Amino acid sequence: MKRGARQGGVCKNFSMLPEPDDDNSPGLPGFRSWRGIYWFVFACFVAAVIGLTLFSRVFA
Amino acid sequence: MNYVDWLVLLGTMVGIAGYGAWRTRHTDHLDTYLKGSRTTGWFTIGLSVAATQASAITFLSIPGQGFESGLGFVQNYFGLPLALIIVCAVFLPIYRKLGVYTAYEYLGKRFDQKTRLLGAGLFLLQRGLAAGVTIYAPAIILSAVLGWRLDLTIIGTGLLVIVYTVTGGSVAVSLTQKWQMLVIFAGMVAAFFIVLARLPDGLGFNGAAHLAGALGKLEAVDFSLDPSHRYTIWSGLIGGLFLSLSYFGTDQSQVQRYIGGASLREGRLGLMFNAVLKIPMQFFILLLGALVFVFYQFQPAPIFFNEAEWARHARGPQAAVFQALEDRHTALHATKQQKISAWQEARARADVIAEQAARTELVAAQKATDDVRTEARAALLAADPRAKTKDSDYVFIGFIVQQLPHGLVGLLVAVMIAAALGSKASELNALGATSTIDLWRHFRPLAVHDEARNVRAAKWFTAGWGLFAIGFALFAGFAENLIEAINILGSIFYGVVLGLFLTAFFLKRIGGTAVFWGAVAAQALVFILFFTLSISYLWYNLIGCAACMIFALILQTFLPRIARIFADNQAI
Repeated sequence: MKRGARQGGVCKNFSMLPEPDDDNSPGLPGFRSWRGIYWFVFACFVAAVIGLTLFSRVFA
Repeated sequence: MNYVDWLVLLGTMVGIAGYGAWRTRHTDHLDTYLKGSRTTGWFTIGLSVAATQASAITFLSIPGQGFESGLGFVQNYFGLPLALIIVCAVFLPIYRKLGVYTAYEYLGKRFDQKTRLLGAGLFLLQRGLAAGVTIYAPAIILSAVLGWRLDLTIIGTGLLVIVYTVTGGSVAVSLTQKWQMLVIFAGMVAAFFIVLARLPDGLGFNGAAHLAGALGKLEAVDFSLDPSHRYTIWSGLIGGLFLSLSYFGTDQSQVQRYIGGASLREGRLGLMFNAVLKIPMQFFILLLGALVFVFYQFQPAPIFFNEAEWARHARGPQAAVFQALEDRHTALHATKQQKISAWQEARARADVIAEQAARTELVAAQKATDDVRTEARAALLAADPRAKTKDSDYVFIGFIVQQLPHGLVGLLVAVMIAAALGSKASELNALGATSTIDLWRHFRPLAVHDEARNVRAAKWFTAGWGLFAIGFALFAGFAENLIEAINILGSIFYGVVLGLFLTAFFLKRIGGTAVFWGAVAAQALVFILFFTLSISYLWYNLIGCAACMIFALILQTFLPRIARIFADNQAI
């Protein structure tokens, strides 16, 4: 029990500083939120799958 | 390789390693040593994440996959972009907000110390064993093809990576990986254009792609629900999602690459860069293999691409059998060229019926060639039951050494070694960080405030793991299927570790004791299933993860009641 309490203290004494939660904007032109970036990446993924399917059909 | 190749190879490899070690020689803060520079931008993070995943085997084996089985392997990466979106949205903000050094430190904050030690222990066990293979696997191929001594190749590459990883820590790893990835991209693009240039006049990319397609090498997406199909869009999406989520979200060798950096934004953009890059990159490497396949339709190909292994047995008592196989292979190659010409002429005439008939004959000729290659493997095994019969890893490096001009041979060998160093450096960095933060500090809590002592401990652990990896690789030759064994080992542990993290993120009412024993029970279940069932080892990622979460939920429901019963009994 005492050991657990000591470990909790250790965790609080790390030298690093926690990240402030101030990073809500992606700062990229055309994107106002990270949700927009995620949808863009998802659209790229769908486009890649469609492109690969078409590539297979054209050359197979 | 001549002196120009050696100049290019040593210039790029030693140059990048030396530059990394020199630039980061004054790294003496634990934060910088373990998490990298606070000024690292998204491009460096993105390339570092890519370099960590892309080992030398990626550039040796995947073109061989394209050569042998076509583009279908690309589907294995379909779950990756979706997993990276989840890591970006859920995992990374929590790691950054808590300011942790390792992913397992988060388990300690969310649950308790025993769960943290369990996560860290599973990582050290699995990744520590894999570290030897990361050096061994490319060394055995490069030494066989280039005639280098295996032990010296292992020791040389191992010591080089230890020097700059120990000297500069995470910041040196990211810095060197950026330049190593640029060498890799340059080398692979150069190889692509050289293959195209070496194809017969007038064939071009379009003609080569149609020929590869006619022989079934360009089927990239398979929508079949038949479980006997090895690669389908469904196995790639489901299995690939869980595997990528475990790897990118909970494996410290990846987590360490993106938790540092200038800000949360840079880490997220680095991961999104990989989400967009990975599928096209794997497609490109596989396509390169398919083009090498087309190249060997017009040029004499060896019957067995590990030519050193073949030559060793072809001179033995079974020499007549081996010679007969080689003669049949040569004759079939000549026949196949006639079939290709007939098919090309039918296509040029736009005669659909003749083209279809010519294609059928061409496919039959290719099958006859494949059958002879299968017989050649059987002959090798008959001559020596310990012979290595998987030769697809040797296709691309053999092509490089025999077909590329001097200078480019050195550059492409540098690509392989750069990839080996990049992934190795991340592994050592992560093993050193986890050993220091999650184990050493746990047993030396008073040392937390002594920054210099922490950095020294991290350096010793990193060097120790590097020497362990070299030692393991030197003795790895005794095990035949070591690479597959390590992959299986990873899948056995990855699922349970992912289950710990998903429970931490999404099942808020679960406590440390429930998830710890849930994970232990899930790991035991995975072991039992592994020894009793014969399913693909990829499924253990899903089973381990689901079992860990379900067992934790059940235990959380019953543990308080059991505790109350014990308390009541004691009170009585």
